[in-house]
Amino acid sequence: MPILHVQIQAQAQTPDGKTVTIHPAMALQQRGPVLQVVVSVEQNMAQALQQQGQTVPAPKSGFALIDTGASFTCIDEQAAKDLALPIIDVVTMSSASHAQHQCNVYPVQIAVPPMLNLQVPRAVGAALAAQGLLALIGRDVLQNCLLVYNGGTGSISLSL
Amino acid sequence: MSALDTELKYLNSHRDELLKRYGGKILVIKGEEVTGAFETIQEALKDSATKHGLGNVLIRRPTEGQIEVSIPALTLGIMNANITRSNPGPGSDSGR
Repeated sequence: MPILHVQIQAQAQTPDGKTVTIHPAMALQQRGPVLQVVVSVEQNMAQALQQQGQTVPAPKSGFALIDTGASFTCIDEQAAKDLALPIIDVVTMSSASHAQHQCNVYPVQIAVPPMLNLQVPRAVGAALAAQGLLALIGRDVLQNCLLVYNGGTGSISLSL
Repeated sequence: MSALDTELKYLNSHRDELLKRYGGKILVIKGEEVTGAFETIQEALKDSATKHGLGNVLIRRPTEGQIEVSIPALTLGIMNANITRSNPGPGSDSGR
């Protein structure tokens, strides 16, 4: 069973312009449980495309936030377009402040180097880039994982 | 208009017929045509890529309605809330 262990790292600038390293516990509290990830076309689709000699779009890398509040995993809508991902369904996203709106669903795989590969056949498209995120990892993925959030050491462990 | 408007209209208007024919299988629908019926989403995705490349298709069981997702951090806009306040602003109790 692969176990990914990550200690969150962050830096900040002091008022006099010096760059200082933030303690991992504070970095985790500030940034949340973020992972460096690589998002690409879902594995089965990619294999089928390759077998037919078609080009598989190049993957995109960025940060994913583990969000236990999210019922489904999300991918940045613009990144999904850049990856030329097919829309395979639409879902309704409800909001406290806005009318319900429809979101596209895309099939993706999210690799978390060096050893985790999360298959997400139904990821919801959402505007995440403004938050510096490529993806939100939601409970549809976490239902198959063990997640340990260690606030004291500023680290997280994730295993499949 | 949704990217899958034609497919969704077709599914909704032919649901009973599709249920009778395919049961609870996962359908791949392109336009107004079912191009595959599968037990797993992985099989459906593979077949979709083989037949339609990276084209848009509806992949859903006819037994399922439209799924509602809940992403509070997005819908409430609280993903990067910053509670640091250097200026308490008007209405705060400064004690003066």
